[in-house]
Amino acid sequence: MQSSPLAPASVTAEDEQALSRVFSAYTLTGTLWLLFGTAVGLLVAFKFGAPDFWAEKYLTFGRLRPIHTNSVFYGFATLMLIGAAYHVVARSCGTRLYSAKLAWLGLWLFNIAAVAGTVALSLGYNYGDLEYREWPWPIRLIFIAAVAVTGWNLLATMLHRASRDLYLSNWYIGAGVLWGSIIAIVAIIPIYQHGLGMMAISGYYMHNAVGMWFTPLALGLFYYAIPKVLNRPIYSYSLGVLAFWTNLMFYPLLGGHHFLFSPLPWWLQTAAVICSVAMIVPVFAGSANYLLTMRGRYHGRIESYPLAFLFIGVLCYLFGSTQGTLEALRSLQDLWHFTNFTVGHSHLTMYGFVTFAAWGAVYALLPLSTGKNPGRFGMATHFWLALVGMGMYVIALSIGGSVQGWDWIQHAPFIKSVTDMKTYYLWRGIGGMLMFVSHIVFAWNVWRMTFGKSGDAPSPIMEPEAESTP
Amino acid sequence: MKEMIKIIGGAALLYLVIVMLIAVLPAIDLSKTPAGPGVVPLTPLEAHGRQVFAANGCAYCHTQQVRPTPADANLGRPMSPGDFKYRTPVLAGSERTGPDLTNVGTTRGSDVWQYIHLYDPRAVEPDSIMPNFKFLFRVVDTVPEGETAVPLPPQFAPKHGHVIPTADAKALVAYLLSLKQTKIPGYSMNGAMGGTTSAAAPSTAGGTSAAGDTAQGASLYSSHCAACHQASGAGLPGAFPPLKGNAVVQDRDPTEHIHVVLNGLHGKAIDGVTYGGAMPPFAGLLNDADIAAIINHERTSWGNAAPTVTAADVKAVRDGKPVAAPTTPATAPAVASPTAAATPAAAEKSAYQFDAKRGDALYASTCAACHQASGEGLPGAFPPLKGNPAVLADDPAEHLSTILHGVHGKTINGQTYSSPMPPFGGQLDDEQVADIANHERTSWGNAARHVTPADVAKIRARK
Ligand code: HEM
Ligand code: HEM
Repeated sequence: MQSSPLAPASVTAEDEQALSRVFSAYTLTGTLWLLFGTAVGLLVAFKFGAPDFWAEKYLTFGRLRPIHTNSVFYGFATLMLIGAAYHVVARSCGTRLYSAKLAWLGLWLFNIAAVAGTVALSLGYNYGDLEYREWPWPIRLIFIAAVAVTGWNLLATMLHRASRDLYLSNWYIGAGVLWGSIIAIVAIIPIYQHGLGMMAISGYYMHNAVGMWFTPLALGLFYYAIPKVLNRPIYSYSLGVLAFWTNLMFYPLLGGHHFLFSPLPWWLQTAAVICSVAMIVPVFAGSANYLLTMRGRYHGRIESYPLAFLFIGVLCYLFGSTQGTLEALRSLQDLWHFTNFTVGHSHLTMYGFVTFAAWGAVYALLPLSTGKNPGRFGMATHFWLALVGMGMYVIALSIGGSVQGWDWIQHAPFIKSVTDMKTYYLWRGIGGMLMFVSHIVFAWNVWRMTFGKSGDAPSPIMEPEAESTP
Repeated sequence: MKEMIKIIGGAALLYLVIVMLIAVLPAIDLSKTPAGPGVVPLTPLEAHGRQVFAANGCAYCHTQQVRPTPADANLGRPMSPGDFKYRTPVLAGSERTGPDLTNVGTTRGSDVWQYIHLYDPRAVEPDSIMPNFKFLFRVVDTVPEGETAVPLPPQFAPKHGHVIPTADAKALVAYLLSLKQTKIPGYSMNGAMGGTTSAAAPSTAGGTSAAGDTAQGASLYSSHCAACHQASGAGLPGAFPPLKGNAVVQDRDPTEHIHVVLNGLHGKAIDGVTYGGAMPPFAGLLNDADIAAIINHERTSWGNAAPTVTAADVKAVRDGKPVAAPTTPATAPAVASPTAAATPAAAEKSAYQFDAKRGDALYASTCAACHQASGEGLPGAFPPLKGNPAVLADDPAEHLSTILHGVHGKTINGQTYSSPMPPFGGQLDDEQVADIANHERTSWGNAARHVTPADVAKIRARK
């Protein structure tokens, strides 16, 4: 693909416009879900310091928390990643989107599911507090239908590609939608989910939803957006291939580590630990590939905010996953399991990695699709507020989580671990506030890239190498 | 086309195989795990409670899994597969913002505590950050037939009316109280059910290790008792009795104190107040050394100054034997005077000597709130004891009977008092009643003859 993708001979101006409208609509609704989901996240964070604030039935902590996680997962992250994926797949295959109608149908289904899910959770219809699959099953069926429609559309687009080779991004995105469908279907079938069986499926689901759905989509966007912005090819195709297959071999088993020391079969837990360590292979192969693609252009990171977002995304993929490997070791599980350290990990990965990847892809690709740019100042504000906010969030909870775990090992009265966390909850809240403000700025930037007045940021594509290397 | 099927189709197929092997097939197998010994299905009410639990997302802050790790050793025994037979949804949780609930039916076994805590967690745990669940309660003007109002401390109660639980709250509490681990025959870990003291040396019979146990006692008290009796030992008025100045706790003979901690208590009037909730038994949860440490903490904190006990004493009460071991005053140096310690309880009684200081202290903590330190009472509300005919009478029968059994609606010196005096017979032993009576009989210018514990026993037996 690189700087000059195959001349898209069969792609008409209308096709371009249709794709651009799809990309814009997914990004816009995804952004609305980001605003809603993180406003709820902020409220939830606030409640740690003010438990009696808005403690009414429909706003109680235990109903808002799953609304936060589900709306950022299936409203925000899913819609943002898929919107950009449509663009990436069509462009990298040098062809038109297979069906704009199907893309719009998918958008409606995703949004209906997320709205219905939010209402259901607030009314107290929660499927057993099983993380990330709390929506009642009919709503999850709508979500499955949305993933299926999307998968069909994306794969059909790839089938009509102009090139013979299938670019790496499409491996991740194409496989990702199929993996996502399998995950969602396995999670919804009730017959093998009784007692311990349900616990096993929960362990499987929690980490496969993040690792085999969000991760491949985000990595697929990296493989396209990073070379695009840098105006140079990916460092190594074969490293990418290695990362793809090893990721598939090792990631699925990670889930068991949620239930280390539980009565789940010992072999399942041990396999989970081994695979968590083995994940070093795909994670390092993938991250090295992205970072080496950026080699020599590091000073350019600050000039180009799209690249800065992508760079942070890659770093957090590396750090977050390495942190995950540590967390999975039995001795460290003793300390960190059940503590806020895990919540820190969740945000380092889902926020630092997935969310920054989605933002980077939107800043890199949406202007190319709509011809409109955000403002430079807007992008800078978004970047620094989000980065500093996330840093505070993750550092506070990593320290706090360790203190909490230590209190428990000491068999201190439980309430000590609660009072010890007060300061860290406060810092998390301040970080969360910065993050939330950055999302408002992001929404403004998206508006300028779609329907508003174009801003003053330069084209996301950087100058070719020769001119910028001294 | 071919390349795409090879890569993406291959990746999907491979994933499907992996998922079957690591998730679906194990789950099919695990779903068939039979129930462990004693593991029973929930009742319909408890199952309804579990729905309420899930609907309000309790599992986001509370786990229900005990692991075989050092951190979890004080939560109960590690989970076993048989525990999960009837746990669909499993509600195992993944974060402990609040404590694990696996054994909450045992450690917080009082429904009254559960209601107060749900209505406002800060009423029983000032530092709690759990949200209140007031929406699970109704405030009514008059308590309907068959309902019981939640005995909230005044500063946490609504300004008007009574708080009664809704059907959801009742179901939720029934579910919480059902959360108790079953014993696995032949399995034991650090004492009864994974007690905390595997590392702590058992108390020596001499009771000299009392000092070494204080930190342990404070910590155990905080995790097992403070929820109801509060860290201050003051209890919650109307809901949970105070231990500070409590007669059983202060009693020199620890038998009753140990008995209550081992076996729990229900419906006993303490200081004239009858408590609706039941105190759970701890015999199955804590070993003898732990219980001794807790009891000693209670006996030596908040101004309490009763003699301490040893693990051997606890064992004796557990086995239904008399407490043989001599008791050492808590404040005495570690090497207690052998003569004082060796005095058997019976001999001590016959050798009763009125100790004015003891009498003064008991009067101050038990009687002075109403009758005042000056013995003058409060005009119109509580009668004076200074110059009181019953106190001055040579025959102490009426005086002692009033202390033991209370009195109501009596006219004294032409004044009728409407508020009842509570009976103290349940919380004070004969010697203490004698001490108080003698204090009253010899203070503020009163000068009546002394009574003995034997006199008290006689009056006690009469009624
Ligand atoms: C303003 C930004 C955000 C704030 C203030 C925030 C706050 C919170 C809070 C307070 C919790 C509950 C933690 C607990 O129960 O102890 C939480 C959980 C969670 N949030 Fe966020 N959040 C934000 C953004 C996001 C985003 C953008 C994502 C994902 C894309 C996300 C994913 C999650 C996940 C996965 C959990 C569950 C963590 C776990 O169970 O380990 N959050 N968040
Ligand atoms: C090598 C890669 C990774 C490993 C070994 C790993 C490991 C772990 C471990 C051990 C936990 C559970 C911690 C505990 O409960 O004590 C966890 C939780 C989590 N991880 Fe990862 N992780 C990895 C990568 C990722 C990535 C890339 C993402 C996001 C895209 C992610 C998202 C999450 C989330 C959201 C949770 C919280 C789930 C929950 O407890 O509710 N992880 N991870």
